[in-house]
Order: sequence, then structure tokens, then C-alpha cells
Amino acid sequence: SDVYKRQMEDTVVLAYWHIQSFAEPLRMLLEYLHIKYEDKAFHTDEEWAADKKALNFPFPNLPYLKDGDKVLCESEAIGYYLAFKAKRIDLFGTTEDERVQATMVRGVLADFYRDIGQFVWNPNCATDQPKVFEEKFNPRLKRLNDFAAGKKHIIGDNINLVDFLLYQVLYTVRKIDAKALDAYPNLQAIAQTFENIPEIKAYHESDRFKSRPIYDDEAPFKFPAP
Amino acid sequence: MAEASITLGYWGIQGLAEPIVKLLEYLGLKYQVKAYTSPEEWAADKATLNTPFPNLPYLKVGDKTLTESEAIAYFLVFHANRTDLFGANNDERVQATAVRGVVSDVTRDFVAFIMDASKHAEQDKYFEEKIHPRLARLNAFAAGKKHIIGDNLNLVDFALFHALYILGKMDSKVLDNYPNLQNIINNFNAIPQINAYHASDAFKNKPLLPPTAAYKFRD
Repeated sequence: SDVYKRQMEDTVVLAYWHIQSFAEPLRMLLEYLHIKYEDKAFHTDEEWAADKKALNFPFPNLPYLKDGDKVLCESEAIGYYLAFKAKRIDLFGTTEDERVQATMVRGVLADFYRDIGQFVWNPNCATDQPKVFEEKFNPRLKRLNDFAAGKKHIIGDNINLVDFLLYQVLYTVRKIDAKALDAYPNLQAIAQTFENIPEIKAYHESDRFKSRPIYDDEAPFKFPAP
Repeated sequence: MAEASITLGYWGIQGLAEPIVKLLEYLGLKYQVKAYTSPEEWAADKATLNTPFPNLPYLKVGDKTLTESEAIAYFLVFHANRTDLFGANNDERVQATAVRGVVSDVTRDFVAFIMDASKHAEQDKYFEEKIHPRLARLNAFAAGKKHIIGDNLNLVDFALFHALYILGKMDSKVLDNYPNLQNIINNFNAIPQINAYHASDAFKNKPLLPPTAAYKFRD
């Protein structure tokens, strides 16, 4: 029927591997924005190959978002699209200065998140861990902590798209080392504020979230089991 | 309104800051360049820079200092009142963000390649596996367009042009199969401010890579 068809069209598809990694900030964003979505998670290359074929999109990549006929790749673009779709342009920043600051923070976080990925896939991660924290992670955490002083969210009073990426970075770092944020109270406070957002809290209590590994099981760094 | 003085700090090369320089030129903004010629020189300034995430490039505007290339570009767009450069509508803004993701990835990738001398012997294989698939994707996206997003120039044109420029220096045939990208390059070059800047000594005398890069451009 028409009503059913409209409801189905209102459900977007977010597709990625069955891990947190780059898709998790987007999953949290979908939850926060109350956008109904199919959380499509591939466990094998074969699953993705089959889906790729059915998708019939010229340059498919993961993660992708499908909304009706539209297919969109690139995590940042998906985040933008969802903010526009939900009519939440405040998430970019409520002033020009906030938008510039958010863009700056996103640059820093994108580098940080990439370094985390490299660490997780480093065959020598166990022996390199102290050095990686000392040379790469802690300097950034310190600067982010200073930047976060006196703020409710990372940009200020208003939640921003970059808060979703920041939370994922802090969450992952703390899973690597439970003490990782001990020296950074402002970041702990921001993470806690984010976790207490009702939609985020509900999502974190879901089986879907709890059963999802942070990275692939094959990665050299072994996270505690979900 | 008095124009605040603008200083761009970087390594005295094109490197990763060149899209910002082209943007400054395009916007017709007066600016100075602080070119660091040694890590020690930069380390000394870095310690005193009043900005939360000190790094190069930085932009000093009046008494404020900003880092992260994209944030600098956003700032300049607001400063020059050219928010059309983000995109003419929400769809263009989203598309531009997607293109920027692809351009950032490919740029990071070939910069890592350039800085790793052990890989240089495998350049043809590297281009086949890593560069051409992305160029094919961008070429398809560019079909029928004047600039990469469409009729209107976008911030992402600046990063795209520079990435294609460096790839062209690495392999003069790299765009042979991508006529849409060649068209985009020509249209970008034809912008009067860009054209004038490319003809200037400031551009022509600026090395592309740092002196520490062991990469030998094929000529």
C-alpha cells in the first residue's frame, strides 16, 4: 500500500562492515537525529560483493548511505547529508566562527582517528603502545583537553557534528587503554555529557551496539570482547 | 572596514598549502608569506603560536591564528563573503564534501608515496592500483561539468586542481584517459586570477616538494 511504501522510503540504509570504525559516528548520528535506518553490516567480502552488484552504483564504497534512489559515499558527506535531511544545520556550527572551529577540530580528529587505525593494524602494537601514546596520542589528547576547557561539547554549548567523531576517538582510545583519559578531565566530562544524551544512551544499551566489535577480529590489537 | 593583515605560514614550497595560496589569490586578498626554511625555525615559532593545534600551514589574521587547511579555507570564504564557494545549494555542499573526501585520500596517499623512496621503483604499478581507479571515478563525476561540482566554482576545485597538478608532474600521461578532468583543469587555469598567479614568479620559483623529498620527477 501507499502508506507502507512511504514508510519504507523513509528508512535509509547505512552500509558498512560489521565493525564500529568509520561508520560508528554515523550510526550515532542517525540515532540522535531519529532517522529510521537499516544498519546493514557485512561480515565477508562475498557479502559486500553481492551487495555491490545489487546496488548498481558506478563507484561503490563503504560506508554508503542509500536514501530512496540516492546513494552517497564518503563518511563526512554522509554526515552532512543527514544533518541537512534532519534540518539540523546547527550541527555544522551556530556561527561562522563555530563552523571554522569545527572544521579545524575535524582536521585534527581525522588525523587522530587514522593514527588509531594504524596502531590497531600495527603487528608490533603491543610493544609500540607506550611510544605511540607518548608521541602521537597524548600530545593530541592534551591539546584537545585544553581546547575543551569550560565547554559542554567540543565547540561550546551546542552539539556539533564533530562531537560524534570526537566521542568515537575517545571511546576507542579508552578501550585501548582504560586509563587513557585519566589526565584529561575536560575530555572525560565531554565524553560523559555525550554518553548521557538520551538517544546515545539508548543506542549504547542496544544489543546491536553491544555485539559490534570496534575493529576486525584479525587486527593485531586485541580489544576486549564486546 | 580596515583589512586585517593576513600571513600564511608554511615551508616555502607548494606542498600541501598551495590550494590555500591559490584561494587567497583568487579572492584578491592581500597576504604575506612566512616561509620556514628549517624545522628549528618552525619549532621556535610553534612554541609561541597562540592557537590550540599549532601546525603548518597556519593563517594569522590580525591577532588570531588558525590551523588545519580546510578550516583556513572556510575562514577565508567567510572573510571574503564568498559562501557560494561551499556550494550553491545543499546538494552541491554534500557533493563537494564527498569529492573532498576522495581528493584528501588520494592526496594523502601519493604524498606518502613521494616521501617513501623505497616505493618509487614501483610507480607504474602504484598508479594503476591506487591512482587510476580514483581518477576514473572523478572523471565520471566530472562529465558535462565546467568545474568539479558544476557551473559554479567550489572550494574543492582548488584541492582537486593541485592534486591533479602534482600527479601530472609525476606522470605527464596521467590524465590522458580522463578528458573531463582535463577540461576541469583548463577551466580552472583560465580563471583570470589563477592564470595571473601561475604566470607570476612567486608561483614559478616555488619548489613543489620539500628538499628532503627524494622523489625524482620524470621529465
